[in-house]
Amino acid sequence: MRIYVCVKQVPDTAASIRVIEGKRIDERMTFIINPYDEHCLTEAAKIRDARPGSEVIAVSLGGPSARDILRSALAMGAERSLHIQSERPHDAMETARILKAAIDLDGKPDLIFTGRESIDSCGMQTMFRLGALLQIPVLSNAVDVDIQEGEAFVSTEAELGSRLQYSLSLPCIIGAGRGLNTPKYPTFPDIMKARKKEIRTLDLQDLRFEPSASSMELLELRTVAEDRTPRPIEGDPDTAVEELIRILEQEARII
Amino acid sequence: MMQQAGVFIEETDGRVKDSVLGVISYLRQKDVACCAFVISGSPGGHAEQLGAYGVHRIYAIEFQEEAQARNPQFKARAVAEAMQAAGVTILFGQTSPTGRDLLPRLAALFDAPLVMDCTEVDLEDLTVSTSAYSGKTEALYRVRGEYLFFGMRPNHHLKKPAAANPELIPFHAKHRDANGTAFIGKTDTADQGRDLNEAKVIISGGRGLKNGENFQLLFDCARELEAAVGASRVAVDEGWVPYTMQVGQTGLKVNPRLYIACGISGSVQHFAGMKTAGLIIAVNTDPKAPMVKNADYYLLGDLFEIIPKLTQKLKARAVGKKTA
Ligand SMILES: Cc1cc2nc3c(=O)[nH]c(=O)nc-3n(C[C@H](O)[C@H](O)[C@H](O)COP(=O)(O)OP(=O)(O)OC[C@H]3O[C@@H](n4cnc5c(N)ncnc54)[C@H](O)[C@@H]3O)c2cc1C
Ligand SMILES: Nc1ncnc2c1ncn2[C@@H]1O[C@H](COP(=O)(O)O)[C@@H](O)[C@H]1O
Repeated sequence: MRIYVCVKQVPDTAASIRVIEGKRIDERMTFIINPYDEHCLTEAAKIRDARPGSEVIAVSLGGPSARDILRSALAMGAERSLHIQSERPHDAMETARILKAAIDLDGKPDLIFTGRESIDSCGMQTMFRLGALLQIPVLSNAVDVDIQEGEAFVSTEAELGSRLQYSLSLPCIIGAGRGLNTPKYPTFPDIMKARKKEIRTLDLQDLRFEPSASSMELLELRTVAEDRTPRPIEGDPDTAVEELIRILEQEARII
Repeated sequence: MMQQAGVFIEETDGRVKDSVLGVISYLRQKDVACCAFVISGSPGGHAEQLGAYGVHRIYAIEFQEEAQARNPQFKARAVAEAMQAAGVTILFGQTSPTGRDLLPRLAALFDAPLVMDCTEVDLEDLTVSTSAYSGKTEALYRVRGEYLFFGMRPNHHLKKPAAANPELIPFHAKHRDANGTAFIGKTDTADQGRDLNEAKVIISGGRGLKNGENFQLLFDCARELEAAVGASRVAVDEGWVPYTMQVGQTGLKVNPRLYIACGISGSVQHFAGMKTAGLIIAVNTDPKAPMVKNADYYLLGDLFEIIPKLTQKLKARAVGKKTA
């Protein structure tokens, strides 16, 4: 099986975000793999290991930090990787087109993994757009995946924790949810091995795709002020709880 | 001419969700005519309830077979067909589990823009406010396209009645191609929970709870507050509570009127899921915890003492009210 895993670089979640010129962020910070994409890599490696002759290919669209992310993806088990170089932002329509074009150029997928959302932009849509372009089925928020002959059996998590089971014909796209697995982080030897693996660089100009008639343009980015002023609820436990109830009643007005 | 927009209706316990009525109210205040799209087994398409909030038209989508209603691809196709039949090119939904599946499928079908977690949408100049970088920033986008899709942040706009007399239009989905997707079945988990997305009050627990059994303290208190119970990632990773209760960057993003955090330190990643709450109250033993520093109120104390006391006093109060 040929399994593609889309991985995106996102700012380290603990990093503070500085906005420049009201439109972009200061990129001098650590970038990490989008956490859901780690679940993708772990699942893809598991599926590959059960099927001799299979390979996992990590794909990323982005600037230089995308290379570092691909290096981590290789350490987490991908055989090789594709880096689509681009310094400018792309909207969801374009991102999906570019990812499709890169995959088309590389080979025929049997399975594609993406994360259920990226934690920086939270588009929550790449997989569906990719699916529509490739005309293959898509399911998001997968918590269980079982690959059989020509078919994927996928459980997804729906509202209030109920699970829905589906079968998808292969090739298909699966959006990893957090319940899918526990990511397997690389060991030192994994990291050493990853250094020798291939990162194939693709230029945007090398990829052919029809632009979309639709677009999403970022006009402005501003930091959200943290403007809460914490006030204590004081006194011995009984007094404090009385005061808490007063707040629930008079300020929150929920009782 | 008056602007027109579609709203996808989500329901719970046979009623339209309050958060959806909030979206309708928001649009009505902007003088947008609302056309509701309902996929429902219940007859009448919620006409009474939707009418009370100013919906003009209701498309009640019906399927030939039950399995089609359960197939996300059929569902998206059916809504797309109904939108076309209704002449609706702008659709609002919510950033809820349902919306997160349906809206991007529709946007992909129409190759149209979609913005999720929207707080404000201006249909005149086609700009949208949403959050980015785990709620640390707010972003303003301009969208262009023949069709437009918006997933609103649940509970950001509150419902306000405004009566209308809606026209009810039954709609039969024609599309028959499942595009390689088949629904097999559904398993329900025995869940004590309420829908965290819908909840007006959430009480959450973290490592401070020490084990899964102790979460019962929160469930007991939640019953008195009509609250939903949430959790930090640590509580989920330890296996104390299911992942569906996780609030935060890699869990649910919630937007209640009140959030009570018990034994949660308040990491950046946890805040990413609840920082928009109306009022935040921290119950923690550590005065230096970030949750304490970023709350509206904090109570420094042992949750094992405070929470049962709160539950007990709320109970006594409810009894007092009844007998009064
Ligand atoms: C990529 C990434 C994504 C993440 N996503 C999420 C996410 O979605 N959601 C999330 O929550 N975390 C997330 N995390 C984890 C996050 O960084 C923290 O580790 C986690 O939120 C801490 O959980 P906690 O507050 O329950 O535990 P701790 O940080 O250990 O805090 C426990 C708190 O309980 C208090 N306490 C202890 N005993 C008592 C008592 N008896 N009474 C009152 N208070 C008491 C302590 O003072 C302390 O403040 C993520 C991390 C990463 C790296
Ligand atoms: N620039 C990118 N490069 C590679 N994969 C991406 C990129 N953007 C999004 N994805 C994939 O799409 C998933 C969901 O992203 P989003 O639709 O932006 O929320 C991510 O977890 C990735 O798997």
